[in-house]
Amino acid sequence: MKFLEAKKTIDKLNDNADIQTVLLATSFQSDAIDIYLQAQFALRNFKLVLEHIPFGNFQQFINDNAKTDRRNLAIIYPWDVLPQLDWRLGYHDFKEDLESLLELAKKNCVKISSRVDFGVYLDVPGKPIFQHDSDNQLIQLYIKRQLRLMGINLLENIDFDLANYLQTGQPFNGRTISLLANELSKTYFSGIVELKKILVTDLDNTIWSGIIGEDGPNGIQYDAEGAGYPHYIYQSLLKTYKGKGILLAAVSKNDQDLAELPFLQNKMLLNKRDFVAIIGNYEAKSAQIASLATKLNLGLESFVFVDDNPLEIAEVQKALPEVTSLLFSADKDSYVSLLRVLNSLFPAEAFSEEDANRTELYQAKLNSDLAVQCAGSELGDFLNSLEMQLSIRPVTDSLADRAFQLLNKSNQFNLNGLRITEDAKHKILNDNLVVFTGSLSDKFGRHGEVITAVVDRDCITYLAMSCRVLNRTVEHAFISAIMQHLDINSIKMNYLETERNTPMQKFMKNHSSADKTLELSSLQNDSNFNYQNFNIIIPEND
Amino acid sequence: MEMQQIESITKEVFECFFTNHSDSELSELKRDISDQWDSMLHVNLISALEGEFDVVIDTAAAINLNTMQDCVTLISALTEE
Repeated sequence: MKFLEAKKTIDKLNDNADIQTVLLATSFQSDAIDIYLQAQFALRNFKLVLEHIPFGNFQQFINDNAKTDRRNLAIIYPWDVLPQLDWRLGYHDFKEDLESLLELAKKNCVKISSRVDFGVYLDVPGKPIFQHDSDNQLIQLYIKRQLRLMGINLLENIDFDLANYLQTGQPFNGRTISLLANELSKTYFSGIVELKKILVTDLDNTIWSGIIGEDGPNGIQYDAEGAGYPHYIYQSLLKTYKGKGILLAAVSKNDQDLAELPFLQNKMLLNKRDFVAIIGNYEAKSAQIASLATKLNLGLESFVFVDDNPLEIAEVQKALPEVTSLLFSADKDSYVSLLRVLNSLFPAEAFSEEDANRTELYQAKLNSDLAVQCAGSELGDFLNSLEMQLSIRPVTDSLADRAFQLLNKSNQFNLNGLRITEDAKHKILNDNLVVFTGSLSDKFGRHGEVITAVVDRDCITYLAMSCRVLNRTVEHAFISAIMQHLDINSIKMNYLETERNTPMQKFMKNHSSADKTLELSSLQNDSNFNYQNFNIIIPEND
Repeated sequence: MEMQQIESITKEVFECFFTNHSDSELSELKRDISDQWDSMLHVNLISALEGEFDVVIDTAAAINLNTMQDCVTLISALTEE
């Protein structure tokens, strides 16, 4: 589809079309794809409202577990899994061997799959990092395989435009975008990508042989012998799943105490602690599963339901078609088929050692709402792991050009959108206002001068930061360090709201008072900010 | 493709990015003095032109595109090849 055709397709869309709100996560500036993607949705009679993560924020995105209502769609490149493969970063001495990079790739693939509802992986060449090309190929093959196992759609024949990527940060040219949007929308609408995260099992004649309400705890069978054998094997499989971080839950049309009783006797392989929930009541099983999905904040697509009763399977299939429902049968062929399907739905490679504690986390989540705190701490851990170094310095006439350039180019994190004219520049320098700049580096490389402020005694008159480093709390560290350098606890901000400075508006809303004064304590009390995440270098006062 | 057709399509693409601009305003538009025509818009505009005309615009050439007429001239050359 060509550009103008895409535009006309969107214009023709009925006003009453259903709205789909989607977050498109990419490490590159992806606005150019909007119109093609919206056209693909329009062809299916949907109005697509597309949001983007800030440029350069893909790693923050995959490390932030905050759940939202909208679906996350992603275009993934090899360097989104391993930043070391990114052409734009140049070469650095990473001191990492193949094995540790494979391990890191696996962890990042798991993070990506847990954050992305629908995604496509573009298997384009990453920057060669090893002496032997077989190692370079191995690492790309490994990433490809991991993501494929996790349900990410693979695109192998998409052109990669290295020159465009280096120049603009967009790894493809305009001829490719339509194709990419087409593949992305197909992936979205086929809904094939959701990684299964939770297995909900029936109890009677599934976890054990027999009916607890009739046979009693001593009459049911679950040992590695006789009628209990298939159930013993099933329990052992679920036990290994739990060990990998797959969540287990049980739903049974029983009294709650009866449903729990065999687990409390500690005679079976599985015990109560292996489950995030054991639910015994007489509601429809679909209602029990839906309630569990709400409480755990998990999508229904991530649920697998196993029951020996075809009627229960049919009920759940009808009420919750998103849930994968499987019949448990001790019949040999059906049984082998069930185990095969389960293993394909929960591939061992898709889970890391870190996932093993998921059950405890979700048990806690059911008892109290810890989601926000958990997300914050994971993002904090990620920022801490970046080993960021922020070098701040006051600049003089000859070095001020880059600083002024940043003020004139940045729109998003810009204090007031005011541009520095030649006259203003001379006035700033002649009036002895102080121009501070901050250069950022981290374990992946140098980002250069990314933030600038012009300070007039107790007032910041201009402030801008590159959108490449949004969501790293660099602005907190920079302003805090300047205030400490100037030995002041509050500073006025020459703030103006503009059409495009939304991140700055958010920052001011969180940290400034009605008279646009910013307190040092407000920055330091921000739960997302930890001064210790930065190694800050700033010259001493004269 | 005829020059007139290239001009007409290019103008239509520009109108998607510079809404509410009259024909004469579009003709006089210059990237180096336009507030709206910033680097991000430029990348998206080049992508749109590439997608519309099924051409690849070299990054070095893209940097030098300063007016709508520059785009028409370049696309005309590319579609002739």
